[in-house]
Amino acid sequence: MSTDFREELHALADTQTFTPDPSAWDRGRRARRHTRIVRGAAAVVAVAAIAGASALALQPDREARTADTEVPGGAIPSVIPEPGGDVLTDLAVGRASVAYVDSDAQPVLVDASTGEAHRVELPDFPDADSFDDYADSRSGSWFALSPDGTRLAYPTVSRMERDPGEFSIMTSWYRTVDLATGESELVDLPACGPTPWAMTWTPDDQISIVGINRDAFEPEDPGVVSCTVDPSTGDTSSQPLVGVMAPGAGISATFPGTDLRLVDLQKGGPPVDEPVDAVPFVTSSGSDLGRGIPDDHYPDGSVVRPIGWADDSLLVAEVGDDVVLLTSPDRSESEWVWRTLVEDLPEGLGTSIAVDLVPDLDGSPEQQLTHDFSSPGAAGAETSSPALPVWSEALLAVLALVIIAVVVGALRLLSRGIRRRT
Amino acid sequence: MSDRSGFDQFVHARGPALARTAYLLTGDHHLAEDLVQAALAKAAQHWERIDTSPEAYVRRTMYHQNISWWRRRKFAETTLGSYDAAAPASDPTLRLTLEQALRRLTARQRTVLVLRYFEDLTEVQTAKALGISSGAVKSMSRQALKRLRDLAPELADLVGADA
Repeated sequence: MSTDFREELHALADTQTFTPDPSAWDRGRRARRHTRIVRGAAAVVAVAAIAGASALALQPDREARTADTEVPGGAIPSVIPEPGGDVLTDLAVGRASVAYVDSDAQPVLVDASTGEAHRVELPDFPDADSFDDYADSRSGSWFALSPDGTRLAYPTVSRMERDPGEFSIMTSWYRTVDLATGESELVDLPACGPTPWAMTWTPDDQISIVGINRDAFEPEDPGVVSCTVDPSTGDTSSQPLVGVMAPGAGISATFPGTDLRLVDLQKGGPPVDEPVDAVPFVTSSGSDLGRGIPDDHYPDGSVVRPIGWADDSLLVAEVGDDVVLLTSPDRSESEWVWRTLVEDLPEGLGTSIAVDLVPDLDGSPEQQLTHDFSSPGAAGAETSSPALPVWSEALLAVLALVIIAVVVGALRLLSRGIRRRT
Repeated sequence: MSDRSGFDQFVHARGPALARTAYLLTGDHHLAEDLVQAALAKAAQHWERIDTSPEAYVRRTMYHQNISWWRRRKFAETTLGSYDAAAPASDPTLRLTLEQALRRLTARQRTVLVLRYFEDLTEVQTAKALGISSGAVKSMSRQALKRLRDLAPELADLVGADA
């Protein structure tokens, strides 16, 4: 092998610069905490499964057992669980409380009544490469859950290889899915832009997007706009304010970079991943406002992505790894609230919440705004569960024995590993 | 020295070298940056438990992560014809040609070349780093060099007849 080859490799490598990312340590430690929580939860689940399966197998009369973890009407879960079971292909799953895209670009829905998470198979849903290609521009989620949790919307994005190795994104349609019927429909693109930076629903069931103004491409350098499209009629209209607009239309939750033009973006996307010290808003009067982020909880600021409005002045937003409810800064400070709804969101590519499920605030800081679905009896509804057939009693007993055997085996392996280390 | 400051010192000392390797592995400046940061975040996650060299840990993470990303990205050869077709000869310099040809190798082939000829690892060391046999390293390296020559015949002098 010629030394020239090595030299050329070194010369190529030298073209790469390095900028330390100060958040790498924090991200790693957060992942560590998350793993620990998951492991702890797995242990708890194993123990609970043993206890539960044993109880089920030994219970003399199961007809009286109730599914007391269900919440009639639904609630936002205090913890978003890992998705379980098979990927659902029948989309008539009923109301969802949360819709998110996991880190593998798989769409996940959280059942509003049970708090269970399921991966779903959606027609024409963007793939992981598309999410990657557009990562620098997404200021919000591509996966939008309607305020009442019964409809989904997303862009049907596909990739096109313009030059070898150079991919760009094309959006042909939007899709909506009715979670009551499972039916999906195509929606014509709104006039203002094809590929959204963020997609949400308005309180009156229109799809709202933020993006680059497609209509203005021909004349000259376009800017960032927001507009809506009615999925049932295809009618589109532009929004007076960029971002996720409050129902009263006087204020909009926005994000850094809305003042950019296309020429700016050709040098890189909007600064969507940069932490900010305050949640940014724009108002109909033209003034920019910010609602400060509590620095005790977010000492370095946080990345903010607006999700929707629970009412005229209460915004639901992703702040770092949390979903929070906060009062918009156009209200007097005496009214301001900042409540964390969900902590430690699963790592993913966008989250949307059924904002109608946020209860009206009663003024008490102790008010429960979400539901702990892992806590039996915390909900009100009790629905009868059918008696299990006789064969499943034996199955459950066998299952309990298998789980016990697995746990005992794992403990033995663990203790052997510890002995070896010592 | 706290864990955090040790990590920061490591990042400042070795980050640029890791980034250079990452660029050769990915063939893309942005991806290289992402690859290094992802590997560093993973190192931070397991910092207390890294009982070998942190650099070895991060490098190994980068090798495997890059191959995994490549699989997900499906930068696959669509047809054998397009895969083995010669790269356009319009590039003015040999280095550009090499850069383009490297991009058209599979992630695994590129990784083997980077480990053998940039990191100067032996076949045995490369095999250990990638968790494959020495024989596989040897044949993969030979295939990668042949493909470079097929993609860009003008690289023949540079990469030689064989490893």
